[in-house]
Amino acid sequence: MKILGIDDNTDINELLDTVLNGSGHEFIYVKNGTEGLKFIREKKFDIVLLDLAMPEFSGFDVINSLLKEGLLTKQKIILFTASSVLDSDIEGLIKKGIHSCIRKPVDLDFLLEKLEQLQV
Amino acid sequence: MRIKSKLVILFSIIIVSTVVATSIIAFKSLESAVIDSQIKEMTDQVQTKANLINDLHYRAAQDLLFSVKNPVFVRYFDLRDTMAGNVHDKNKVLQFTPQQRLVKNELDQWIYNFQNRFNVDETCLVDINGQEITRVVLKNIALDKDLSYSEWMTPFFRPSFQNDVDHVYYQRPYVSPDTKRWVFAYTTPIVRSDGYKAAFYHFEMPMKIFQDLVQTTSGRIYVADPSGYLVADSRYKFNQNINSEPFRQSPKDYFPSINTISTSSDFNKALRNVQSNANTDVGHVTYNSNGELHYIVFKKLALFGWILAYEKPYSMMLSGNTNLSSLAITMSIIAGIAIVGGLISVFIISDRISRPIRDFAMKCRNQDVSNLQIINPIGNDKEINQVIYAFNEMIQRVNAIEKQKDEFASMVTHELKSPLTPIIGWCQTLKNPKLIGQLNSKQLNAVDVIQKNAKRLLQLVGDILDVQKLDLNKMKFDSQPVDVDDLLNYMYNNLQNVMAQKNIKQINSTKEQLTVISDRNRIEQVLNNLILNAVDFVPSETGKIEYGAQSNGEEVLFYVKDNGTGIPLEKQKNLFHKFYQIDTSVTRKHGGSGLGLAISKGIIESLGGKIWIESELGNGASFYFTIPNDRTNTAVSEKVMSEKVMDVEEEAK
Repeated sequence: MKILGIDDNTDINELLDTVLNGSGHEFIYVKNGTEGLKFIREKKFDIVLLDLAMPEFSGFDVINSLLKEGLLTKQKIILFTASSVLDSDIEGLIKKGIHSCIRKPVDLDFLLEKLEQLQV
Repeated sequence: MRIKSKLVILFSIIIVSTVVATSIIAFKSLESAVIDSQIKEMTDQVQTKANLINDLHYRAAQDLLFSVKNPVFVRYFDLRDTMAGNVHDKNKVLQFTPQQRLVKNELDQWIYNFQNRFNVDETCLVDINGQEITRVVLKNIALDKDLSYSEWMTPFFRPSFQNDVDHVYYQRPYVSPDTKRWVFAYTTPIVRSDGYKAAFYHFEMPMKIFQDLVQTTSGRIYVADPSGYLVADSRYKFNQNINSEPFRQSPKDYFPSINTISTSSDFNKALRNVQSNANTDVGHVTYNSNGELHYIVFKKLALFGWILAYEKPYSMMLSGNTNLSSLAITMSIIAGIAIVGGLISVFIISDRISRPIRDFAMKCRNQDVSNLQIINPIGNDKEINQVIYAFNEMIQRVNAIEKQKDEFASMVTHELKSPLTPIIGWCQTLKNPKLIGQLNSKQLNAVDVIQKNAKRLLQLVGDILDVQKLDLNKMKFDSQPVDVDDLLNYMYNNLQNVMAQKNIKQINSTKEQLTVISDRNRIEQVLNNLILNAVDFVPSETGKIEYGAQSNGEEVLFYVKDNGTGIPLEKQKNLFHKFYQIDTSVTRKHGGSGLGLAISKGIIESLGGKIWIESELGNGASFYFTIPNDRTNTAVSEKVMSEKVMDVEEEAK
């Protein structure tokens, strides 16, 4: 699967790079929302793992921009966040077109399992 | 003390004192009006009595002068026989000549008739030698032998001759030797044709006529002589007929002393003032006697320096005054109505004043702590609304701080969890030989320790946040159908690894298909807490943990039973407190923060259930908790309950 990671934390990016690329996926990452938005516009990914709390251009900004451009429903976006976002807020985002939410820290086996499910 | 009570007391004092003061002022002003009118009435009476007394003497004088106008008086003294001098026999009895006898008979008849017509006790005619020519006593004409030849001894003999014709000399009272009564005497001279004062004519009037004039139905009227005795007194019954030797009867023996009125210096001073005053106008004075004020209206009489006085004590001035007593009744009724009405309004007004404060307190108490709202103005009292305004500013500040705190908590969560993500993730990756190669056993062991502690740190952060949310009542709960059987099976599968590690047995002994409307994640969290706790406390190999759920009427009862060491009774009550640990030496393999049971208790109670423990030392421990079948119903009933509690609290105050 082609997976895009958008996260300002390099440690996480590199972890995912190791784990996902090592597990047969094609994972690339960007370190901020603006860049991530550019990637999403240009290419089609199977999955986008989107961090919410990022400086300057946050995950919310990315979602809003995609919503405006009508791209939100065309791209499977999984929120990948450590913020204590309320379930109700996430439900609101899901209604708008977000696929789901995985809370950090994540069990890597669980993440891989979830990605397997999406591939089917 | 309540503001309302203070207001009630304050207003009550104001009302009662105002009513009392008004009543006293009204009473005093009416009292002085009553006394003024009483004094005026007494003044009228004194004026009338004084006129009567003065008239009495004046009329007596006029009668005397009228009587003496009869020419028979002059004719007797113009007789040659009379002018020749009186002739007496050896017994000193006056001898009348035939001519004198004729005129004397005429005189006697005139005087007798005169006595018939006027209120006169005794009448007599005395010549310049003190010889009585005629005397009529109580309509009895005296015989010749009874006529006195020594009338020059009488007190009015000399003054009578010094008087002019048509003038009357008034003699102060004395005891008449003939009538044995106290009398006034009036005398006037008789002048012969040649101008010689040959005799005087005189009559006596009983003093009783004068004394009877001072009778009164209220108070006391008296006439005081300058010598200090009362010549008339409405309170004193004078004995008219004197039985003792008349000439020895002195005024001091017969008349009561002025001291019988009062011995007070006030009174004596007042009396002296009137006596020394030439003015005969009516005046009034007051004096104190026996603790009571006495009012006296005075008037100086025309004769003898006598003073007519009308006296009443204060009580008598007011007694029988219908205006004053009806005023007292009216005032009492009005005062009563004013006080009762006033006090009712006081209660109403005080309530109105203090109500906004109580309403404000009520609104504060009803505030949802986790969601403080601005309070709307209450009533239109400025001060209260200033308090509310200040309070609202505080609420806004508190809300701002709360928001900052929430933001801080959210930030802390993120900041603490973010570094843990790569730590735990890399540990997991290091242990996977397929990804970055095989580690040796020492390295694997090191990675395990790092991973275990990172997970424990993660658990701790989660627990602390849960405690904070429960404390602030900010934890959100779902109300979704929960398949209890599915939940327990899911847990059974998840726990298999943990159980296997310690080689202990887990049993899910649920026998029913159960569904509750509640929060699945939170129930799972509590069950996890309890089961992982039990794992810590049961022995390896022989350890056994049984859990499950059963229907219990309106709720579902969950249980977690172990065969561990059990918990002593004295430690059970503290078990659900924060940071409480039964035995600090117990190795906490599952990241026990000491918050697990406190969080469980908070969650279960928030979901409308109860949690408790049953345990005996050495016999294992059993944890129980209940979850209502439908949380939404309970939530409603909870709210109703808390409102009832609030009502009860309010009643109690």
